[in-house]
Amino acid sequence: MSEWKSEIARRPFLAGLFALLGLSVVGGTVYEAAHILRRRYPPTAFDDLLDQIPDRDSAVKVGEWSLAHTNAFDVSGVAQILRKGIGKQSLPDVLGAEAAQGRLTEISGWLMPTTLTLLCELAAS
Amino acid sequence: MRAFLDARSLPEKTNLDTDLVIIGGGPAGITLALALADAKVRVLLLESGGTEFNKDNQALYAGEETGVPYLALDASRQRTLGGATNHWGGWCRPLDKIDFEKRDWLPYSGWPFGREVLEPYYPRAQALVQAGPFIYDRSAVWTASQGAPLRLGQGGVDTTYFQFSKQSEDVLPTNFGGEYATQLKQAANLTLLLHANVTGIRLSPDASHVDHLDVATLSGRKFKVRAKQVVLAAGGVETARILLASNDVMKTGLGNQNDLVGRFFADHPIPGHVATLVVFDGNLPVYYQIPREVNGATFRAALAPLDAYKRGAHVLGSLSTIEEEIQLPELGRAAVAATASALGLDATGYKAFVLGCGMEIAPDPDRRLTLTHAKDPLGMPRLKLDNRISDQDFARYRETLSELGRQLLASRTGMLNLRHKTRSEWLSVMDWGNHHMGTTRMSADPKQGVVDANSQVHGIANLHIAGTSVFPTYGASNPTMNMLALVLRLADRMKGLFK
Repeated sequence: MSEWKSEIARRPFLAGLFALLGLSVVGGTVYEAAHILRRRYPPTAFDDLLDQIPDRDSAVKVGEWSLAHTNAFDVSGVAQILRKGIGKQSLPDVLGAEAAQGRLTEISGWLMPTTLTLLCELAAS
Repeated sequence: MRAFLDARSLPEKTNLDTDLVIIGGGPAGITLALALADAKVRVLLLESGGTEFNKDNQALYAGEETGVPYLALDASRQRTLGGATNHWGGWCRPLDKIDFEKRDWLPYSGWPFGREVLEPYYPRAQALVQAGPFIYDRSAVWTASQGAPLRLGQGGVDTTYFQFSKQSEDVLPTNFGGEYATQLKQAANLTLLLHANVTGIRLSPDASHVDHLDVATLSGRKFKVRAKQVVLAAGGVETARILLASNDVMKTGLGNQNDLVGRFFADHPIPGHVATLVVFDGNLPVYYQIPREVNGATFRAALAPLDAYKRGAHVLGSLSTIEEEIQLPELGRAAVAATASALGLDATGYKAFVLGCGMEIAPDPDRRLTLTHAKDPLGMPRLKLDNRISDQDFARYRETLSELGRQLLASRTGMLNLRHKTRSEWLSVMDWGNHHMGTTRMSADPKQGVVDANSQVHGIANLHIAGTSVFPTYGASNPTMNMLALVLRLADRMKGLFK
């Protein structure tokens, strides 16, 4: 009698467990979809800089616009300037300091810290 | 109580004699008349229009324009009792201290006195426009109940506050013609004559004082007015026209011995959608967009350069207002996402808003009114406006916007997109405030101004000018309340002259 009861009680438990697992798989897939579908960027010699950009897709869009309106872009030269400028500081600190000092660049009317616009261009180059 | 008189029904060969005649029944003329209501002075107020709009009367304002497009001269003002207050927006804000200063980097700048001279008159001016208690930049009154302003950090731009003339929902700003009609009728020393158009201010042969006024009606009646003192309060355009047309003794026009009458015409340019302002966290206090009522006053916030910044950066006044929310294009969304994330911020709930503005322009002698050969039905020469705006005016305002953009980033509050760069871009979105100023500018030096520090026309003992035409520099503030303070000061002078 008790075994029969135990058998019956196990069914909803297992169903719930499978449902939970299913939900986790679906949720995880959705959560990771952005990363799975995200544009993958090949390794470059400037990944020490590019890895500091939290939203690289957006940075690339900004950079592409900027490069389309720039005559010449010296990738190595810009990377050197950025490495020297950022050093061991965090990017938010560097950009905050630049804004405070008024070191801004206009990209299609958007006023942005100059280091960020260079990073965007580097990401798009 | 006496009814207003109609000049069209005056008996033939009427000549009027009074102590003080005021030409123009707009806010300046009405304010002056009311301020003198308790004085032992006989006052005659001449209004060219009636109490209601009349198209024939309004057509007397028509004129020509050249240069930068401007509203038609008969569309940007109103020839009716109450003048411009028949169609004003009710925005009020005192001029800034720097607006009165002589600035070496700004040619022709400087009033003959500082703002402290007008300050005692502001509360009464405020009461006349019915804008509630005089609060403005005592911001704690607003923010205590309505929330803190945008965080802009250290910099040249800060939040400032407008107040509004009696404006809430369907209540229009104060119309001086209607609001003060009863008081005007009750003033025992005042006669108000409607439909009375001054066609000439006639000087004594030695040009030392005004002998009489020629007045005419559209119905053909003509008469003269003699007065001990004359105050011309016909608005920033018509005042210049009457002076220039009164050229029988002074051949270049009355008060125009130094070729200044009609020059330095100014208004506030109101270019549209000058920038897009993004707030990263999406939290914008509602009082930046919509007027709010606190303690009996209606206020709205704007963004303005501080005086110290204006002095240092050599920029002029401006008042940028935050308007409707908009959606950003793809590049804009990318710029916001890239910037906010790089600053370590979450901008997923950002909001973007249109930024509008009213800006100050530099005094320019070539932006001017002149007479043409065309004449109106009363025989008065019509006007031509040569309107100009310099590239530097736009560049100065753009610099202020850049400073605002810098502050938004530095304080991690948001960011700015500047929309106009070239002259043609600015002109393509241009509108104007209908604030006619500068055409009879004030200066202690007769070679630099038409009127002196007391608003008296240089060299003419009994002729004064009341109105925004005497502003030598303009600030960015809407002029009506400031002009009324100046008129109240003139009223004190008039009381002194008649003691």
